[in-house]
Amino acid sequence: MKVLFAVVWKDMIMELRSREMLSAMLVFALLVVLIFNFAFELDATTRANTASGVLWVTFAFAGTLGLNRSMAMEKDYACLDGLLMAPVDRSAIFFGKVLGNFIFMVIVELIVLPIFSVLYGINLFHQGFIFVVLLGSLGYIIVGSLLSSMTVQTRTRDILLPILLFPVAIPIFIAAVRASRAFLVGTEMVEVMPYLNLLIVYDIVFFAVAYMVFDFIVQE
Amino acid sequence: MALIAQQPAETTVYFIAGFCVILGTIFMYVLSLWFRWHQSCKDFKNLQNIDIVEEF
Amino acid sequence: MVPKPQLLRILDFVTVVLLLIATGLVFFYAPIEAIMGNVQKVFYFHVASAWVGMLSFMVAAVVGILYLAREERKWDTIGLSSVEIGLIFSIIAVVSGSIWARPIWNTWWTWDPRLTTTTIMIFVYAAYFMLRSGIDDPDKMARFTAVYAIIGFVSVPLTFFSARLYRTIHPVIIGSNQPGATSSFEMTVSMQFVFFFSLITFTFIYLDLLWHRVRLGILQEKIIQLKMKLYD
Repeated sequence: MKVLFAVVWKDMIMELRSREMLSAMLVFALLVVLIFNFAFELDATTRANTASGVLWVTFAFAGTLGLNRSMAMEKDYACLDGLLMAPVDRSAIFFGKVLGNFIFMVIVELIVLPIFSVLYGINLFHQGFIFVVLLGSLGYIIVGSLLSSMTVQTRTRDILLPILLFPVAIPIFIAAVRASRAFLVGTEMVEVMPYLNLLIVYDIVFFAVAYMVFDFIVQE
Repeated sequence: MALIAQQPAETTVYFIAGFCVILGTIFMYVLSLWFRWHQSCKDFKNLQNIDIVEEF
Repeated sequence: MVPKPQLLRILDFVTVVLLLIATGLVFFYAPIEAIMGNVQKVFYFHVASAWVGMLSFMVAAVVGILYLAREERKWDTIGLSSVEIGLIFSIIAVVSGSIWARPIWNTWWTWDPRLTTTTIMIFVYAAYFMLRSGIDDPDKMARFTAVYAIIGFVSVPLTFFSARLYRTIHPVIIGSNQPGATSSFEMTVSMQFVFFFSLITFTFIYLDLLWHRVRLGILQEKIIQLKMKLYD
């Protein structure tokens, strides 16, 4: 447990000092939002309908940026090797990374959401909406961390992560976009529940898979 | 009133097309396997010859 | 080089015979569907292909687990072979599904959950190969692709359910004559027989192709090892 938080703390400090990753993710996310704004001519109702879709595309791409940077940092500065030599439970290291990545993604989302609200003229601060964003991001980061710890060791690195991640993350995209849209548009809970259940199941399943499989990715 | 039997739609063309795609692709894959096998056999034999020569 | 084992020869023969019979059944025995006409007959091999795609994926995941547990090369070879075959048959399934859809619903594509899931499986399979080509160290490559095969397979039922939710709650109307177009029709007993026979035939095709492809893989491994020995 302590190791887990130590890893998270390390990532936080490193990021605080350089601020490279967060600023890259943030600028990228805002640019994507801007491009979407110009790409579509939207009236008020359509905007409410497409907002969640646009947001999730943004989060997906910003997320891969963050994941790539996070893992590349480990590899390039040989942090991971150092960590692995320590006599600690490996899963704590991995889930420390997951938590760190998750926090970064959430920080970006917390900044993007209000700006998006303003630019698009929709109020996004609905309880359910935020909940869906968190659930979806969690699943995305769990699988993304797993896959990025692999892709960072390949030749094709950065490009490979989206190719591996997006097909596997489709259930998240479908469920999160639909559920968050439902909250924005005001659909009944009974219609939204299946999507929420799916997200929760996805998160749990891949948490378990990651726990069982991580060891094999990092072993030398 | 005489009941007119409804004729099924005339879609045989698509049926043939679909079949050609399915069986054709399987056949092409089998061909590719065969071709790769023969290529690998040749490579293996060549390498074995080099190996034997180098033994001296 | 190992000559073809006797069992494989028998399997080859049985598979070809089954395929001929199945084709004959589909052409001559299966009744013409009342509304769709002859194109419905594509369905028999179309579903069988999708089934092989799914089976391949399952085998790849199981074999992936076995490789992680035991680290024997053969599991990696079987996994690679299974994914390759699965990719081919998933593409066959999607394309034949598209050809089936065209005359019936006047569109080349329906967001039918099964078709959608198979298409996404194609992307996962293709990504498998891209992952493979990006790693040089064979042990790492085998481990990583084993992990990805497991992750990919686990995601399939989740993808399927999400695609199904997407369709039931928000049926697609654009691009099809019938809203919420699904590929369902009544199957008579003779149709069911041809259907199950096709499934069995294609399973044999899968096993036969798998065995051949694994043999090829083993030979290629030997070549690589020989090259390493010679050019060291």
